[in-house]
Amino acid sequence: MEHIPSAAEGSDAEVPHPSGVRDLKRLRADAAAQLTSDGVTGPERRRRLTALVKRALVAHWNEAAGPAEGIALGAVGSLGRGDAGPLSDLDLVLLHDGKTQSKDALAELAQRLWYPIWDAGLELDYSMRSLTECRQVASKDLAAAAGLLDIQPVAGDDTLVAQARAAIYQDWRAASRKRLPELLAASRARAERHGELAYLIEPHLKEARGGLRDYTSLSALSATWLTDRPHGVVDAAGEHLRDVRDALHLVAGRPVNVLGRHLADDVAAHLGYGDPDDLLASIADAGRTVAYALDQTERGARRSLERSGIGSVAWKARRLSKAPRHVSVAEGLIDVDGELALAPSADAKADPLLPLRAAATAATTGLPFTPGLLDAMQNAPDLPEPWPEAARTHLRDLLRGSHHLVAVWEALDLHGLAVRWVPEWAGVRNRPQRSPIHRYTVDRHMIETVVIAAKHRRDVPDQDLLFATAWVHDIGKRAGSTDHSIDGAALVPAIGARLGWSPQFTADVETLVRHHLLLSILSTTRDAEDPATVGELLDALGHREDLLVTLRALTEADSHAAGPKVWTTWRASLADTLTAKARAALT
Amino acid sequence: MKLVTAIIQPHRTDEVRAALEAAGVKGVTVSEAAGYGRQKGHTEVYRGAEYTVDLVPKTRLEVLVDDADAATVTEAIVSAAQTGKIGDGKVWTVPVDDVARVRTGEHGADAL
Repeated sequence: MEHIPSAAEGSDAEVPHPSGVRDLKRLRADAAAQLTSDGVTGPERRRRLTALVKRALVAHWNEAAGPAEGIALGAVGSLGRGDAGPLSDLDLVLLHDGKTQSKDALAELAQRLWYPIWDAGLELDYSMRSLTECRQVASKDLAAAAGLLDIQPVAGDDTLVAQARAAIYQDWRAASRKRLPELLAASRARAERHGELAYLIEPHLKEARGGLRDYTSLSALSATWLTDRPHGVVDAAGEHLRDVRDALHLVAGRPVNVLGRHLADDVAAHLGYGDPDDLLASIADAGRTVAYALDQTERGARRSLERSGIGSVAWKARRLSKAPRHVSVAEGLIDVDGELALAPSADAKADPLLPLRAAATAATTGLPFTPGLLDAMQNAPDLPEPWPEAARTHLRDLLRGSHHLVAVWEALDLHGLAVRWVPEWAGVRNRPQRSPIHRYTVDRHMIETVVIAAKHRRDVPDQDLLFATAWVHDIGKRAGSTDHSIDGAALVPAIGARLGWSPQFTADVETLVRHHLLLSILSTTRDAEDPATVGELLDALGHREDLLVTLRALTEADSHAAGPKVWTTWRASLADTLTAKARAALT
Repeated sequence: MKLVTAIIQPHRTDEVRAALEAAGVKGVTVSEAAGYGRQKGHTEVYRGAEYTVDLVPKTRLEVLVDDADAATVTEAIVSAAQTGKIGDGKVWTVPVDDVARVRTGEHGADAL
């Protein structure tokens, strides 16, 4: 096979050219395999594959178009961004100035360009547009506009591509007020259709929320100049998703984007994962990072739009009459235009309670954290063990803040605070659940259970016992666990000791975690009329009615959180019957 | 061929499945069901309130069998599901004109 130079290696003269695009499909696949076996991974491999494809296209252009004027070949999509995978489509634009070449000449050229690409077995997404048409299409079609933001010259008149790129960026920024909601609506529509990347057993790497399309949208958002986008871990997450996509393409032998179960083992092995669950956990982590970054960037863009005064007249009038809103909402915390920020006078490095206080405040008010506050929370000192009363109060408020808990916990977890508070959380973090009834990873499932448990807060004598149990009920679902109820219960004493729970509270949580499936199992597999069934249930719960009704509430919340089809009227009826008989036996 | 349908107590499902396996049945469809028979539902007390359970939770099993096996399968279900109490359920058998296995296109007894 040919030598694959790095993109930085310089002139075309150093490498043999493929003859047009005739063998490009094979050459690209061979190059991808060779680069992978040589240990060239990630962005560098994609850069080299992009360079290979572009060289082939230049040769093809020279054969098809020659030194024609007023026309150029541009690349968009992954080829334009320089992250083309081994089987990525070729997204090409034949750009013309609208005057130098006749319509017939352009049509002939298009045929000479596109047909050999199709004949070579390559997937081609093509268009032919003048500069003016580019701007017109981009103004009407969001997908086309976002794609054209990535346009890069491949062959022909580079100036033409540069002009198109400059014009499209200018239009994009000018129409940012319109584009922002369109971009976000498109992201939401994708999420509704394809779900969240982090929680799918068979994730759509491209279209799911937190997937590659959302990752690309970050750049489109920042191109509005309304806000910057996060880098660092977000880019690492995006590149990881591209690595998985490339491995999936190579394993499947075709450009599929859904990581099906039948392919997961081979893709995991290709990427060096011993356990496919570890691969899914890594995808979950990347998906959550991208989704959070998109939300963060969206908030930044919205704020800029509001502050810029280019909005409605009414809004401008309101803004002009009021100074920026800085309202103290808790010790060391202020509400700054709808976000929770660190007060200027606060000293995060001397305040171990700050992260929990901020979390509880965010959960109860719904204010999202500013990035600066999250940094400060990360830098706060560790809490003493056992936690002081104030810390437990903040945790209680956090878990009670059901409406906003998912979003708050997502931010806390992505910034390492969940594992700092509960190191046992690391064992279930991003852990996939292969059961088809489950829609979330183990950690997210527990948070969802807390949220749903809030509907039952009035049914139980101690709502905080219900929330605390829901919060950790599957904490034993870690790698290698054979009975997660027993393994989880064994972890509770250490958690309780660290958090400063009372011995009785800890023991009750331990009991409920150990038996959190018991009511469900007994009610569906044993005869509720049989006193032995009732006896087994009550024996497990120490013949305590408060634990019985808490378990009933937990059972329903756990089932609802698992998936929409788990808790049926059939199951509810069985659980209610057994619960009623057990209560009757206690009186 | 026959379709054997059984409505049984949910808590007897595992026993019935084991009995069907022992009888050589290779496949069974299990679904959640609710209904009432002669007992016309019953009353329960939960969270301090008495309420009427009009539709009692049951499990529905469906088994496709060869004509010659229908009686054996029915007896296996009845034996395994029986507790002797009201609400144990029903088993019935109906003739089936044809069966097709979607994957292979086989028909009749070959598709069982």
